Amino acid sequence: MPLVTFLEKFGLDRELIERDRAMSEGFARAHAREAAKVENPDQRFLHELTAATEYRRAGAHSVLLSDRHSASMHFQQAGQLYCSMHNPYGLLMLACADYSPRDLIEGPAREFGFLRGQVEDRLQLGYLNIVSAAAGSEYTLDEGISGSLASSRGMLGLPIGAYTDLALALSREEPKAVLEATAPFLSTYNNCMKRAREDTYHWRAIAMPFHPAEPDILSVVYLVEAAARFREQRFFPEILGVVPLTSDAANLLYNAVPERFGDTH
Amino acid sequence: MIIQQVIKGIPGLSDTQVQDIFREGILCNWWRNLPTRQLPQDQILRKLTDRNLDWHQNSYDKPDPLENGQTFSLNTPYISTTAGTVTRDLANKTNTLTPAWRIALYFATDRWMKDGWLFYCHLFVIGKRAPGLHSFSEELRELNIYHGFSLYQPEGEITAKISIPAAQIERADFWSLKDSQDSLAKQMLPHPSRSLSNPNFIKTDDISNIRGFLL
Repeated sequence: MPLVTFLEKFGLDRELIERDRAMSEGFARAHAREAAKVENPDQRFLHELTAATEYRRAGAHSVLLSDRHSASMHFQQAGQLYCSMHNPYGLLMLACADYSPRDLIEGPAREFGFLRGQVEDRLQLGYLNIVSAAAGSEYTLDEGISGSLASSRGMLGLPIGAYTDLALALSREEPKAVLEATAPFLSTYNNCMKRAREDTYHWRAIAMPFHPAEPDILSVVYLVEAAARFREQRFFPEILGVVPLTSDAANLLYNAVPERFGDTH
Repeated sequence: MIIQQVIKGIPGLSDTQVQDIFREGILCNWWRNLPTRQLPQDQILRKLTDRNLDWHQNSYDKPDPLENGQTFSLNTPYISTTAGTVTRDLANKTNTLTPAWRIALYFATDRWMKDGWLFYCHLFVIGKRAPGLHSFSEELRELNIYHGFSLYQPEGEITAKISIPAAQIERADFWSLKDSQDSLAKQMLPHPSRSLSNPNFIKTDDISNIRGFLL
């Protein structure tokens, strides 16, 4: 059953999501155009960041709508914009498009200079580390990041340590360690989803920064699953039995992940 | 005290209804839904509580046991407005601006379904919580005042109480949904189609402590 058929069960309105996706995509294009016009670098940065954020929202909406083609296109645009701002967070968005971990390392990570350390903020290397480890590279804890493991990153405020733990587990290719290191991401997602759902007014309107198909979480799950598949293993759906999830969170992941990989139910 | 500019988005009003608001102000749902439309002054303090403010923010459409199970929103003494917000984007190590008009427009168009109006209002805030004082609005967006985590803080909410008086409403901008969609289709940011000024608005310059020189 495609994810879109569960929207009513999730308490979400398909037509509203379609309308909001169209507007987000429109705002994204308009801000990208403004960014190309303005000369002031600060204003350009704000327009680019807004465009990336709107594309990200449109992409997450497309996941809910089981519109894989559009999701891939929106996340591709968001990823390119973040990467062009020297932010490896864009790699996570591209993981939500159709990039494999190896594609990400050979393509944008190299193209935008991330592999040579050209990043706006060293703590964003946590994103690069996870992609790199998912692509099969060996990972050892970077000295530049080891003092900042408690710093929060991303929409859900997960600590950098969660990203480095997962990078180490992926690098060691130990399935049990990978499951354990992925658990904090899913637990945080589960908790956010539960709290957000309690306020039905805002939930139905998706009037909140957290998204039911949260790209910060989906990207991590996609990367871990891609790494497992490369070794002809499966990480998913075993993880759903390891981390206690509400039926909403479990149902969403249970459908979103196979759709990303083109599996048929 | 600070005079805070805010925007209130309201969908589906005619020009006549906008002019009515310019005379009467924007009323809370509790007042608007009273059968007599007569505000019971002695009940205001009972309604303006921390508990109801929390329900207004987080349980807007839930049945309220204190109102015989009626949906809370029908009896809310509060009025949501937005002043926009700055959010810490930790991933990008920057602060991002969510403009007030972008948030207000979502609600003014009833979530992109119809034309809507953005009312530009001036509210009084005091940088502290003042739940029992209905003249002052509550700055729910302000993390230094409202410390509790809210998923909806980025909506930039400033909550007015009981009513926004007509004298504090500067103008109303009409946003055509179709015009906005057409602008976006041309990759241009949308703009209001037209604007109505409120003749009853009292300019903030007239009440702030600026003493002009003698001519």
